[in-house]
Amino acid sequence: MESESDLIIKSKQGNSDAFSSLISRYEDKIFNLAHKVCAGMPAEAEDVYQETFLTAFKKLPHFRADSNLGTWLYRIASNLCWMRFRKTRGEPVVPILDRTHPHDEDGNSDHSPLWRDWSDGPEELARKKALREAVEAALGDLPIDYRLIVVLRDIQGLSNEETAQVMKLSVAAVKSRLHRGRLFLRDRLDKVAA
Amino acid sequence: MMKCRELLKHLSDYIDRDMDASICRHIDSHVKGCKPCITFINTLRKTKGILQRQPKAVPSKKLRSELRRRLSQG
Repeated sequence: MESESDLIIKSKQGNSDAFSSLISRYEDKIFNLAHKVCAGMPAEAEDVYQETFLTAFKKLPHFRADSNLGTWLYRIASNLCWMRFRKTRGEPVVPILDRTHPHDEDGNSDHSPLWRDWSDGPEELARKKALREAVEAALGDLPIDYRLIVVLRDIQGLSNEETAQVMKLSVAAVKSRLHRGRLFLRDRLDKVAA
Repeated sequence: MMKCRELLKHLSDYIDRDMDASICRHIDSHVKGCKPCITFINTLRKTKGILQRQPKAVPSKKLRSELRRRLSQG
């Protein structure tokens, strides 16, 4: 199998077969990112998938040899998603962050009515159709700046540092958005999973 | 003793095991005596687990071919 750097050199010279080999290494990851970020909008996800690689092929002469191709492709795809959903920018509403906690207010530790445990394990829950639909709907309602971070970190499995490189953010900003995004999703899934 | 609200901002780092050991000890100490916080941490952890276990979407054969066709056309 040809090395990635050899395929990049050939692709830079306009060899579409070499670029097709590069696509094969990343297309499932890019498609899954697009599918999850364009929650419930499969046609948009297909457009992002195609546009990512068409844009990459055009911009490949500017790709620096010391860069990571996967990170670069994720960045192109994330930008394309962001452009589509930029109208949804803003902070997600997370009730727990916006109300005074009873424990702090009156010293009473009995705040159990606030939280309900979820009976099923994640594996069982993840198989449930209703829950999958709830995840998709909740992701769709999460503002794009937070949705991208949650998808890159928790669905695509990137580290905080890799996500920061893709999004050109500090690690602290990634962690902050990830936390708020997770709290938003926890709140939404609570209605289904509890 | 850390209060519930102070704890809240650290919980993603806590479930990711990506935090200063001293803060981690404070949280461990708090949750020992706080059932609601245990429940909340469990549900946040399950949220992460549910996201990690979402089924992977893959492009159809037709879509893969369409992309290659568009690329070869330049």
